[in-house]
Amino acid sequence: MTDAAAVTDQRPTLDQLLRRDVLERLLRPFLAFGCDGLMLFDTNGTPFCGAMTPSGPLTAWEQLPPEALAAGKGGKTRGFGQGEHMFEVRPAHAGADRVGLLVFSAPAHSGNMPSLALVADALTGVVSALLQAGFATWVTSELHLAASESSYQAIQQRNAELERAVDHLRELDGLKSNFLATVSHELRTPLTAVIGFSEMLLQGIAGDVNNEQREYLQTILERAGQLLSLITSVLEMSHMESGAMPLDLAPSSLGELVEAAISTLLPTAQRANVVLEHHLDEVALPLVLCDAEKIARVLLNLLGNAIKFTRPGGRVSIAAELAPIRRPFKEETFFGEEVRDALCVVVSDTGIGVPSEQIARIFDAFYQVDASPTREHGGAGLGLSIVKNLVTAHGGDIWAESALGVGTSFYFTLPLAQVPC
Amino acid sequence: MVAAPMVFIDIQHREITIKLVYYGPGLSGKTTNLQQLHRMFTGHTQCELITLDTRDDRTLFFDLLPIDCSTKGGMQVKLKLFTVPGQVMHNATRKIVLQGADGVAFVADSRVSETRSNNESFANLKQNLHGNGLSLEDVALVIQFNKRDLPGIRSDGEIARISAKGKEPVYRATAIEGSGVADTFLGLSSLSWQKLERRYDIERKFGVTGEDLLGQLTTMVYPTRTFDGREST
Repeated sequence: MTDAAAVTDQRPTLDQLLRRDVLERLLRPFLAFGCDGLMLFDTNGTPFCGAMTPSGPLTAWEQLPPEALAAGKGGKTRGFGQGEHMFEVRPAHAGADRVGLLVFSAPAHSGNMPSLALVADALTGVVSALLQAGFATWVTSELHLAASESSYQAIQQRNAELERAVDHLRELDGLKSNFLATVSHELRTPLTAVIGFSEMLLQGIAGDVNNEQREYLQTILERAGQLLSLITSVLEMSHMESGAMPLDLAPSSLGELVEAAISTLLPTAQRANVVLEHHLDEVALPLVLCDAEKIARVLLNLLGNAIKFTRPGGRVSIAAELAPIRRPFKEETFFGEEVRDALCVVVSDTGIGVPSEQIARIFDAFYQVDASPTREHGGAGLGLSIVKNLVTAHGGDIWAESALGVGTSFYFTLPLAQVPC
Repeated sequence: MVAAPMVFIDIQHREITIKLVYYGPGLSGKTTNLQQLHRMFTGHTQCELITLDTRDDRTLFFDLLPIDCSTKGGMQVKLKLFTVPGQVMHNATRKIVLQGADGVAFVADSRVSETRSNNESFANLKQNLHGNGLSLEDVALVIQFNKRDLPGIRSDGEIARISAKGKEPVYRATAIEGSGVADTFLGLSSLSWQKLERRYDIERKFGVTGEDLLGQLTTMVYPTRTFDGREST
């Protein structure tokens, strides 16, 4: 309501309604018909624009005869003679408001002049039409301005609210990461003792153990190991989220990293009866710029995951090729191929696959494709999230493609140590 | 419902309005194209470049350059040149500006490193045309490879190979220096006119000929050249 009132309370100036050059072009020809002055004054009595002969009487409001001034203030139409001159005074309106005063003058004995009143009426009609058109445009633009101003304010207010909400969430997120880091650390300390003392018992340091005790101790050690790796993941994740992950970047050979990862996981693959192979020696691959230890973890995680979800008799393979650093944009290729400035590594399995509606979420922390209480495969749902954080910290991209029952392929890219020219 | 390009014919005021849109990825030089055209047209036609809300030299809404041309048949032909904001986040604005476009000049960045942005923006153009009930076939499309003065660009041979893939006319430009801007504009105007002429039979109905219009536009941007490309003495 206040906005609307503000708009109607404003008055346009003559400059906002009418162009001076247009008005002058309209009035000037009438000097040839005997008029010696045609002038539009604003409501304060300042001449706005007009046409006059050098000897004309209309250069300033004060020069006008008192009758003209009185008629102007009263907004009346008047015609009168003053000495050697005739004057016609017409109010000029825009919308409901009087915005100025048109004054026409001619010598009293102008021979070829039909009637000054007639000229004044005709020209006032034309000027009024121009003012009216100008007024319509002004109102429209004012309304637009008022509308955009109020939407702008509403958006500003909303933005401020959102910013506050985001700040609050950030703070909560920070607290969560801190909490996880502290709790993980506190959990790890007693767990190390559990693992250490179980190992000592197994080694017979505290005396002989019988077979049954040995079996129990083995189970304690194995489960404690699993718990430790889970806690380490949570700790790692919370460190990453708090932005504390330094990278020790150096040119590295991907082939060597893959060899190492495969030799580590070969026993696991053999136990699961899954073939684990790589195709990296088929082509010469350039060095990548990475933190070798972190990328080794990425490889171990992806390969380990692939083995875990592949049924006995299946196959897990790893290959690499030159590619653009971002996931290929397949929708449109009109403008050609992108620069292949990265190495794209693909880990493929012949496993159970991921439903297409879940593939976008598998990199989310704690997300489980099979979240049912009876799920077949263990894990906290942190592995892929950590992998994604590690890859993106290197400037690479990671994504997955999958077909249910056929298998899944994980792709990730790493920048080359030397950018091709 | 199939929408057609929306040439606006005002019989009462004897005006034909054609809408041409400069599309392309962010920072590819769309506004620069319009600024150069505005410079060329100054003195020939009363046109003002209207730029709405830019921030850090980036277009937020659109730029508009209206160009008026009086033709022999007494019809006034108005060309309205728009740019869209190129940044990905302004898609809603792009879609609205694209409404009723008769012709589109796709301003691509010639640098190889910008290939993806070009591809993404081109896919976005198709998608937004589709969203407005149009397809690439409905509008006149020309492609400009801009920024030819920069290092790391696609070679002329590569551009020739790319342009051979489609039937759209391809122009090379360095908009910041003004080169290629006029050719792109004339090519776009000519192609848009041909499309509209085929669809609406404007020459027979209103007596406006493409030669007349293009001739006038050519004289405005190339004061010494005739429409068929000859240099006049």
